[in-house]
Amino acid sequence: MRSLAAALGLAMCSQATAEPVRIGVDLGATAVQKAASHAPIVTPGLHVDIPLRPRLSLGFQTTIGRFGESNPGGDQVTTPVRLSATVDGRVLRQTLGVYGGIGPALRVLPTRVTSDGGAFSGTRLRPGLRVRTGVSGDFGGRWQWGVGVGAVADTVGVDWDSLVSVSFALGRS
Amino acid sequence: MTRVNPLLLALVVLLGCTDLFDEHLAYEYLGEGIHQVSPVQTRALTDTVHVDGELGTASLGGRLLQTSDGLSWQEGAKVTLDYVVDDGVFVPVDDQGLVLLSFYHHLADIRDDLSGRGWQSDMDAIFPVTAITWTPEQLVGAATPVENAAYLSGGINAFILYEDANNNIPLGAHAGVVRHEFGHAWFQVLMEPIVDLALNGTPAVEDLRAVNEGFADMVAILSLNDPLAIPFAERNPRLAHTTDGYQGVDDPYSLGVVFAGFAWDARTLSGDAELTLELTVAALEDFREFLLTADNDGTPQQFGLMLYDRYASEISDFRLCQAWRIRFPDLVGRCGR
Repeated sequence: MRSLAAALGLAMCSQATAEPVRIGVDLGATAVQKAASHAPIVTPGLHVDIPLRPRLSLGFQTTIGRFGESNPGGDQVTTPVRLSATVDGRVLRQTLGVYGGIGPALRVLPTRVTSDGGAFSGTRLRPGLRVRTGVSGDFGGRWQWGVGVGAVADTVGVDWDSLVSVSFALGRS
Repeated sequence: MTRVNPLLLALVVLLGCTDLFDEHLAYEYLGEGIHQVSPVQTRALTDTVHVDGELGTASLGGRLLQTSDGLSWQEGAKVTLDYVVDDGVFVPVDDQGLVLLSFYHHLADIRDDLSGRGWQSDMDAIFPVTAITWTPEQLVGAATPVENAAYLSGGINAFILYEDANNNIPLGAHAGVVRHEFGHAWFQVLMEPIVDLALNGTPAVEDLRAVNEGFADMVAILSLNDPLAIPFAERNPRLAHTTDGYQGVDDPYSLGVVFAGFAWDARTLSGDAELTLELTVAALEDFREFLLTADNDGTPQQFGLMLYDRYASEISDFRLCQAWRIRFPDLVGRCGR
């Protein structure tokens, strides 16, 4: 109930800022932290940006990827999902904006190892801290593009990512 | 009744601190070159998450330093494995974690195997090693994509792992490769005075690398009792490797496989891999003593003579002589030559 009220509050805030909520898709590349080094993987994702006040928004982002090893000894597959919420500051210069934000993140790592020796699986949850920055600009109309980089740090290591995105305004500013 | 703080409980569950395990996944060797990812008993490791235990500690990177006292090793950062636990089994979430745990497992296997067979003091001299390190960048430059495990000698006593371009079992998780690299560490202990002479610039033998590579292969195939323990088809000791055409010091492997091939001949004739390994080690010790008293004129091929003498002392089969003649056609002084 409390979260619904908070969401309504955010919606009211967005109305108050007269800036629209934006939803979008991302295509990213992430250097994921493995035991000994980073490995690059493709990480498509979705995001929602909710304006809080002029030049300040709340961004939710989720991405998914896949890494693993397959050989005659067995298969190991992990499908990392990253969820993050960041408070983003934004500086606008005509149609181009520069943003940067920070907030909590959660990495969800379902992993499965299968071989003739058996099947083993489980899901690891890793809370961490997300920082991101980037630039965005208008395509015209309700559409906007974005290019950004970011990182998530937790107790195991740091994932580095970059992305391009397209977003759509749910209302008119 | 104790009341558990639900927030604390949630945090503990979230961080996975409640997981208990007594096994971990590793590439287990099934013989004939076949591996399978299976649960194995967690031993030798006292801290699985940081791959730390009786054999040494895993690290990231690290640097080889040249000082006035010689070479030294600057330790890299600690490894932290990400994992889940399924039914009491520690499951690393990425392939590098699985390779590191497999490497440690195979190393513990050979250490325990040889400790129980009378080589405890040699094992004590090797373990714990200085480091089991992943990707020391300045060393990887000289490596090829088919390598991803190495032993760093010269007084450092460290194992090195890095990515390979192998589509089969990762070499750092391969039981035969790990035992081969371990063989270099053992060679270092058995041949210490000779290695020291070489490090000081007065080598007792023109080139020790072929004997070193051959011994490492022999340790792998004899300790696993399997000629396919080395994953490279051209190093199969059952092939007719001979010293005929050996071109000298540029390729230690071409002579090394002749030694390993002859060791497998002896194993085939004796039917006893343990005995053959004992005789092989004795032959290497003979070679060491020979080099220390031979006025610095040793050649690696002379190790072949030592092998023959040791094998012939226990294996009374005329085919051993035939095998020796095939393997070492250019050596004289044995089998009626």
